[in-house]
Amino acid sequence: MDYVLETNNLEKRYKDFKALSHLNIHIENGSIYGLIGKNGAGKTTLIRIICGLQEPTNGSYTIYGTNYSSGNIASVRKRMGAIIETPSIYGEMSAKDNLIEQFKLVGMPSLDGIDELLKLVGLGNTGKKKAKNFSLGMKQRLGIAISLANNPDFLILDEPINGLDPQGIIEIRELILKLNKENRITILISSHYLDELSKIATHYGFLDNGSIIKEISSIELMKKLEHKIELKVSNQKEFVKYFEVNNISYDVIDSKTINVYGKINLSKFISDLSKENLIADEIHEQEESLENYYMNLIGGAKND
Amino acid sequence: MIRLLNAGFTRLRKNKAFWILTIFSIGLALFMIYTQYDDMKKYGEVIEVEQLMLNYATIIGIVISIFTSLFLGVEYSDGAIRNKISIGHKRTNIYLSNLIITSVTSLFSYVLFTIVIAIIGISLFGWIKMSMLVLLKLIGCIFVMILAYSSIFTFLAMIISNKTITSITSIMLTFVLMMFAMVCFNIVDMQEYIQSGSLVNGEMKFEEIPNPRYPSETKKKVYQTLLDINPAGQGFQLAGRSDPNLKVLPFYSLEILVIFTCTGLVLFNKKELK
Repeated sequence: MDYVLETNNLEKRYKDFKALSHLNIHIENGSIYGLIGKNGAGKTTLIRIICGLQEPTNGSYTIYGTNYSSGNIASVRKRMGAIIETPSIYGEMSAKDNLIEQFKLVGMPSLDGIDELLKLVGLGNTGKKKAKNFSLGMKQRLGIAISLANNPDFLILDEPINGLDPQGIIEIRELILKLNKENRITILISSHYLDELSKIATHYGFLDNGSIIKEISSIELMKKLEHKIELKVSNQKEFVKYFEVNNISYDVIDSKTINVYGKINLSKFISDLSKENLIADEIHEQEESLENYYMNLIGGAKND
Repeated sequence: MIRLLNAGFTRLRKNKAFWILTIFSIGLALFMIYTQYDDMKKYGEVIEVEQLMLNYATIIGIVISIFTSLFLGVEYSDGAIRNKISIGHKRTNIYLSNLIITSVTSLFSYVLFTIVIAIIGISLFGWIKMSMLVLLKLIGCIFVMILAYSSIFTFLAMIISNKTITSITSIMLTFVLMMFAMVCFNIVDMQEYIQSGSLVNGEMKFEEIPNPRYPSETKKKVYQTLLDINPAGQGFQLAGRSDPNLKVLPFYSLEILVIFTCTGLVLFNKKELK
């Protein structure tokens, strides 16, 4: 698999406090990876380490296959853009001057793309207004523009919608989707707003107590969140054959359990099965929200 | 490194602290010329233009501490250092580029002051009276002293992440260095004999007696060395032209520059940033 970022048992300690513990994350090229976790779960610590602001206590990570301890890591980071907690903006400067500064920092040969970048994030008309007088949403958008100055392949956004109004949230969401689809940028986005992440993420990592407790693609996750029927069966092969022939979405969970997904009329479904002499020992109808899924995961992790 | 310097000098041109520093340097020069010209007219004093050029050395530490803490303090408060590291700039380069920018700006402030004094002062007070070579040596020592000051305040700004604490610490340190320099200066400059007056037969008689507080040669040497090492002490000696040892002062300044920069680089490279 072609991973932009991969960590191997990453650990971070602050004196007696373990902020990250055996953390393993895998971010595929071209994905929008939603890092979900409550406050204090370790999201920002992970991002600080990836961006080189802090060193891991143990473990390692690679960005585009380059180990963090390699001398080349600084040049690999030139392919990255990041907003960590708050956007890095000089408050005394205008949006354009902030971008001029960033263009020089990343060594762009000319300042030609600045106006386009400002238009892209919807700040084309801010003129000489100082960034310190911007609204929170405008600051976030300027932060994104700054992080895009070097045409990054990998963009890290730490809580980009924190404190934004609904309009601002929609604008940031659309911008992220556009950057991923049109510019082919891999994006790592951390948030504790599950609903918002579910609208854009292609992959999820659930973080709790400094560890990734589950990594899952949005397709797999949607399957799990769909209306599903759990069947306990003794003749599993025959059930599987029937689902294959009838093009019914299913997952074999274990030797006796099959999950069937989609909006299904339960009485008709049972009747259809019985016509084929397929009798289940138990049938449970379930529907799960992302929130429930997350809470179950965290609960599960705590019980382990 | 070139990118960092390019971006840093671009920011400098838009920076309020830089323009305040520039206006202050010109304003101070004009103020000194005005007051000296006034004294010359009123009391017929002979004004040496070279003295005016050197005077700024006594207070430039305060000016550098304020400018550096304001200019570099923003690097943390506005998240600029975070940004620079995350886009692949090495910490060593970030530190050194900031040191270069603050050093060049501090030197610029002194040069600007000197140019204004030279242009207006010479036309009002006449040509430089002291040997040009000595003046150039004194100014050269002031340049190296400015680099030492810049390295100290860059060190503080890069190690302390809080802009307010950086400003307070830097300014306090400058005053402590100045006060310490004055204490050393007083001890080194102490008279070996003092006059003592006594009333004999209703007549006041004065005689010279040994000063009981006069320091031993060793003590004097120690305080002279402390005065030479201290950039504020260097500033007083260079501006006062009190026979400073021009052969050792630049070396002490360079030692300060190297020690603070190397220590700063080690600490900044290990610093956990938020």
